[in-house]
Amino acid sequence: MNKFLYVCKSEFVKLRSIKVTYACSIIALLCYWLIAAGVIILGFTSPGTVGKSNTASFFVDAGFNLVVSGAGTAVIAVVILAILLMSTEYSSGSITSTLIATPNRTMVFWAKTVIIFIYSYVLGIICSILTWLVCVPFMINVDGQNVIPYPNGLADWAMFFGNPLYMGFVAIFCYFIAVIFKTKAIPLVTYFVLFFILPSLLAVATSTAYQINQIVGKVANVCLAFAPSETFKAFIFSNEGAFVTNSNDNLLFTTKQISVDDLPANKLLSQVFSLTHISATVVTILWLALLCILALNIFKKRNI
Amino acid sequence: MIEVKNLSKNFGHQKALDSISFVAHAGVVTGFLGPNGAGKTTTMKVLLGLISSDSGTAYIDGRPFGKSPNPSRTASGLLDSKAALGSRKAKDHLLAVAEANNIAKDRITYVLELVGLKNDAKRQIRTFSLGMYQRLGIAEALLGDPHNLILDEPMNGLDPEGIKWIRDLLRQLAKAGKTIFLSSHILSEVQQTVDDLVIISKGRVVKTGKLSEINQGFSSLEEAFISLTDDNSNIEYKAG
Repeated sequence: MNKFLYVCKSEFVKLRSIKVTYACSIIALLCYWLIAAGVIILGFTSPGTVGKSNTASFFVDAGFNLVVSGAGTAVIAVVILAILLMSTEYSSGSITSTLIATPNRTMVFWAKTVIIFIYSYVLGIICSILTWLVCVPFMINVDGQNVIPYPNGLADWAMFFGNPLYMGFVAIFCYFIAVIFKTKAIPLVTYFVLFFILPSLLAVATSTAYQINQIVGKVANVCLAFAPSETFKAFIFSNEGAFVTNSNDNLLFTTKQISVDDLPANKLLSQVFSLTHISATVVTILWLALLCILALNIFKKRNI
Repeated sequence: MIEVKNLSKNFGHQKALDSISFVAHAGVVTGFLGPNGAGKTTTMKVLLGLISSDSGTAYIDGRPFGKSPNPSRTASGLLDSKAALGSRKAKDHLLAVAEANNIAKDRITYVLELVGLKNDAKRQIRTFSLGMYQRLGIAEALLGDPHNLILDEPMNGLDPEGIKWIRDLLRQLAKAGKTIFLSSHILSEVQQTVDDLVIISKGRVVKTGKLSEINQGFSSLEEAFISLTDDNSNIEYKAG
């Protein structure tokens, strides 16, 4: 166990001794700030259009979401870092020196996993705090009201401590992909396909393919529900949905009636299937476990 | 002590190592010679657990390097001195290796001073010359004060002064009871440095023994080497 801590320390030295770590951290912070700035600008310029009569009530409604919503965007920065941390070992050849210093590859693999997860998580927390600090001056006096968002209740704390988990889990997911492929480009492309292109395609398929073939539409719907891009969102909490399940729903999945207006044609997709928080969490863990076992086995058996 | 027994390794259909066996004893410098593509680097990589073998054993101090309870004390190596992340500072590169084995930090200062890079510790590795890369690689190999040193072309890129320095260093380490196993192409240099020789060609050991025994009947080591590995004129050269 001591030995593992040493290897973790070694991996931490590697993380802190490259400039890209600092660049990615700053980009993550900027993502948090940009998302918050967007909400603040929206609040001050057009409260009417979002159904709120005045700016103050808009911000009261936005609440703590303002501070923590950057995680969904900032994740891209930590994903890039997680991929680079592994792929640069191969591109520079320094994996040789790593494996001579620590011939136990399982240990190297887990030490990197731990360091990437902790880095991403702590970065998420720090970004939330810095975003809150930046927001305060804008919200101290809105229409004569103090609307500074303070964490209020379990749901807000779940967002504060929970959303960075999303960054951490997506980062190690992409790190596993980087272990499998060794390169920078393939894992990055895989990330964008899995988290951006595939879900859009499946979402389109869910609604439009349904008109042509109901089975295709339903399959696309179920695939989307189980896709990593959707299940990982179990760690993005919102102060409406976290830990609250609709009593009409099953514990494992929910189905939502869709009105005719939502669909381009008159044919009604009767029910849209999605996973609940709990089952999405379980599926996410399964995704991570699957990829982890695959990556670890490849890493252990690889010639260098 | 390094013991290799019936070690074989294929890369696809290509035989890299064909049942090679030899021993490198503690307290002596063992030279590992062979033409390009003979399997020297492959053997060293198998010894350090970087690639797996198909059959046979490669033991360092009686067990595979991967099973060593204290790897940094057991063995270290210099395989490719350019294998370091260029944007990292030399000191951080060594610190990462030191932390992994809980090696005291003053050891880093010590080895940097030993290889003559004391004033370049805070420079990015990419700004180094070939000779400095080599010195950094040697510093890294010496960091854990290992009992066995596996060095692939350690004299590459060093100036005459550097070559003399590493020769003296290796002799001194061997005298202290360490096992030194090195490959080199500079035969005149090998002649001045090694006690024992292992010569391989096309993945097979063609000759092992004391330097003086191998030299017998030849005017120089070069002549002995060329005559022992003669049928290599038409081999397909491959990297490493």
